[in-house]
Amino acid sequence: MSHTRSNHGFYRVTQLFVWCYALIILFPFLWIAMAAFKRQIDILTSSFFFTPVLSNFEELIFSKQSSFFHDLLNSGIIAISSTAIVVLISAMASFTLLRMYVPRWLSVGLFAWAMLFHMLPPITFVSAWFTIFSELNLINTYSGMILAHVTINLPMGLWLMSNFLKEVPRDLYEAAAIDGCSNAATFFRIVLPLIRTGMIATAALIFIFSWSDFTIALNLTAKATQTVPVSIATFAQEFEIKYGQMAAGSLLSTLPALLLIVFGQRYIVKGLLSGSVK
Amino acid sequence: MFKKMTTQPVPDTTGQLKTLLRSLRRYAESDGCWYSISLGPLALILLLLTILPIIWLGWMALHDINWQDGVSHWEYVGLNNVVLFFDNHFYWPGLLNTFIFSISAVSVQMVLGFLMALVVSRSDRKSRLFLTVVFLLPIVLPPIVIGAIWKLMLSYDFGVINDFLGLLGIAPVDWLGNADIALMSVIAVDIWHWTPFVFLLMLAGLESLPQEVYEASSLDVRNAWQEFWYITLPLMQGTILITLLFRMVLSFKVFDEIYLLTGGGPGTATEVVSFSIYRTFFTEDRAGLGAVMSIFTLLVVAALAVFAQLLLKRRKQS
Amino acid sequence: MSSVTLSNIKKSYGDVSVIQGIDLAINNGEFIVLVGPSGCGKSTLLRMIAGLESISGGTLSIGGDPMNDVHARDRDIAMVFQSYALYPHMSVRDNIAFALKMRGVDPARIEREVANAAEILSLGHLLDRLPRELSGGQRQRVAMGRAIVRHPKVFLFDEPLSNLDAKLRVQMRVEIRELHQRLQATSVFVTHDQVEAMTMADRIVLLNDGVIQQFGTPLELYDYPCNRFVAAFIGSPGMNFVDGTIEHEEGIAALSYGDGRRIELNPEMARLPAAGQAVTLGFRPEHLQPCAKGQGFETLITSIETTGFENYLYCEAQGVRMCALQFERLDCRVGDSIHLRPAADKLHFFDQVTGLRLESEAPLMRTAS
Repeated sequence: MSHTRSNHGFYRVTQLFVWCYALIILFPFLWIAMAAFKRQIDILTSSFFFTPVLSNFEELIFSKQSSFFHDLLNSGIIAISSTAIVVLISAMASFTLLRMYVPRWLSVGLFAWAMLFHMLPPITFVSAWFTIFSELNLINTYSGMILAHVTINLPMGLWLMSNFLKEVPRDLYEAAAIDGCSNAATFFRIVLPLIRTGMIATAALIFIFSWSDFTIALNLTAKATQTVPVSIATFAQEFEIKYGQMAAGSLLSTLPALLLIVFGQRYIVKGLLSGSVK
Repeated sequence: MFKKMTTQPVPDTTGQLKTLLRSLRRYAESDGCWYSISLGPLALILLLLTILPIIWLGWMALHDINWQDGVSHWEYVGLNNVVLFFDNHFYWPGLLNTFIFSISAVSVQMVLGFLMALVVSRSDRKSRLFLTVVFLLPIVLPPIVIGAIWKLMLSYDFGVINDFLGLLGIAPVDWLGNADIALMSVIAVDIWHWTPFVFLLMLAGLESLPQEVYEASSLDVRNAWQEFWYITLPLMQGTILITLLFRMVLSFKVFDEIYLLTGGGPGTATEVVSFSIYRTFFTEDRAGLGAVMSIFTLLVVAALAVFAQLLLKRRKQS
Repeated sequence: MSSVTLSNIKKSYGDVSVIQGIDLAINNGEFIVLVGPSGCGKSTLLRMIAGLESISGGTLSIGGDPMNDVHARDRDIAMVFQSYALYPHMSVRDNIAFALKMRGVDPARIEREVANAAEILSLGHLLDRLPRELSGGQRQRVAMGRAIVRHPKVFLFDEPLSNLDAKLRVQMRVEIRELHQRLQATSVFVTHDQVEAMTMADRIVLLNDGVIQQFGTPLELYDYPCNRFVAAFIGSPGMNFVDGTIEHEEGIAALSYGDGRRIELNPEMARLPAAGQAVTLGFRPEHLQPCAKGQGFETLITSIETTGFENYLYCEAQGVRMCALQFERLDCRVGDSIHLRPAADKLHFFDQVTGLRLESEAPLMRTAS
């Protein structure tokens, strides 16, 4: 026990370091949150004292030139639909792959390919999708975007759901089979209620990934289906960077993630930990 | 006679309909139906949107593709794109940068993340919860927002970093515009971005270590350093190695921040492979060449991923 | 209620054969216990009857209908699992009613059946609880209730008592037995515990290495074990075994064991093996009694166990270990020498090579083959 005491000072110093790092993480967010309420001139002169204004938000949402509100809607539609589809497909597939008789080469092959695909840079596939989708007139459509987001997030969904499914004891669906459940009934009445937490965790994470996606949205959308990350990037790309609107847009786009952290911190951590390749 | 002819088929069709419904119902409850419903979508998506595109890329690589009024024109050019690929001025420096980026950023993340997790694992519950929430922020926010934030903060004229340096009497630095330090700046942003993730993984790993081992070893080790070196580090070896390898492979995906912060510049100072592909494919409109780059990148990353997997498997066996 | 017939049932995983051709006819209303050491294939056999495991060869029929290709959900059997496998997200009531609901039974009847089962198992006050709020014994009862509401053709039990503590196990043993008396349902019960097998079964199937060793009533297995394995498995502490050779001299039969020592066997025993045969002599602890010097085994006591009303003497004679059960408290200590003799009409002889019982006449013995 003596060593704890002798290292107490050192321990204090390292702890201080951690809290400093936490501050370094927080600071940029506070700073951008402040910038969102500043006028352009206050940002450019980086004045610390300023009168908060809502002009950035007003311009962002109500201005005729700004499509931000529309983009927000697009982001929501695409993220929610693709999340729902990913969770449903991956829950059903991992149930079948893990708990029913499937040839080994098939289940191992599917999992291995999904994992490998997850590690490959998305841009390589986006380039192929772009030409394929052009032929099929799927560019700049919700279906195209949803399809792309489902594809890119499916491996993570599969991985997470299969991890959560492994926690359901085998006995339970054997009991269900004996009780007369069809496969579908076993899945919907026994398995789904039991992996509910896991599904929420998966959905939270997939939603965040889909909401955050930039690579796909940049290349497969135009004005009509453009999502928030693309419009934030557009502010930064314009000749005269609209810092205030960029900050306000950034702040708004972080809201879903912030809400999820506040209300579902447990689920996100669970998902992140389970999703990291073990 | 007439009546018979019209009425007779009626009970027949309802009978047929009933049999049809019954056999449909039997099919709906059969194993085959469930297999196709549960695995069909997954298999179809993987096949059509991940495997087919790779073949498609191979086909594209042999062509020059031009778009006119939304219609693509394919011209067969054989292996010309491959020749162009080897001469490309962006891709190869980009590949080198990606390796530098991946290795240095991930190494620092690992060391920082692990050390912080060590410290925090000894903290009380409340501060652990608070730190977890704070550290979740960069992970769950859109990377483009993180790019935007840092673009503002690192700005030469009015970025807060240079303001701070100004207070200390140091001349402002062109963090993103100076070819000598741009890559370093980008790496620093990535370290800032992903260290919390490593931290969370390491913290979870540390918390799942068997407590009895520590109780047993407290009789043998003489100081915290010995405990760390002989107990914690060997026990954490697996978690560390896995996190290290997979973060390195995954950092090949980096695109969003680079796109916003530097756009690969100045020159090729911060060019990375993902950005080269984007540039070639979407800005320069050279789809054939972009396809060659994509395929080559896929091969490199797949080889790394498989290598990492084999390394881990071998370690598990020994 | 239905009979269950297994003919030449086989199970193999790839090249590994775990059940090697089992024939078994279970009568309507019978309580059968499948018992054997772990890995003997008893659970696999049960799961094959349930339809949870595919059948590699042979025919299974329930109530006369072949069941090989019938899905578990269509076999009309009920099963109590070792872990109970209660659905954690459903109340006790819903757990019990679930199977009936799945079969589309009308709600009024479900309610009646559940109430009836709850009464039989005295679960009435627990119906709205979740499984995690119940004790082990209560969970066990819910699992039983889930089975009995269905009035299935066959009840299957997969080591349902092994997660209970010793006292509760004895109690549930009795309860399951009484329930069977009441319902008269064909039941197959798997356990590794020979005491459970002995106390519960109408007939026992003793399995080893995927082969039936003996199929008969508990007392048949106890009194007339058909081979050394059965003799050793049934009974606790197990039967004592002494390897030796039969000798007939001047009308006196004896077993020569160890380094040439002899023990006289009762000459009146009609079913003694032939002279010169290498045998294993077996006798149960309760049949080993103290005797005068020279009439039995001369042994040294190596340890003594007493439960208060039973006293076990563990002894050693010429490197042969044996156990004697005494109901009287003997005045002896570890290290003492004691002479012990097995009761003459309670001897079992087994072939040393094949392990089979050596006997010309087998009054009550019945085996599956």
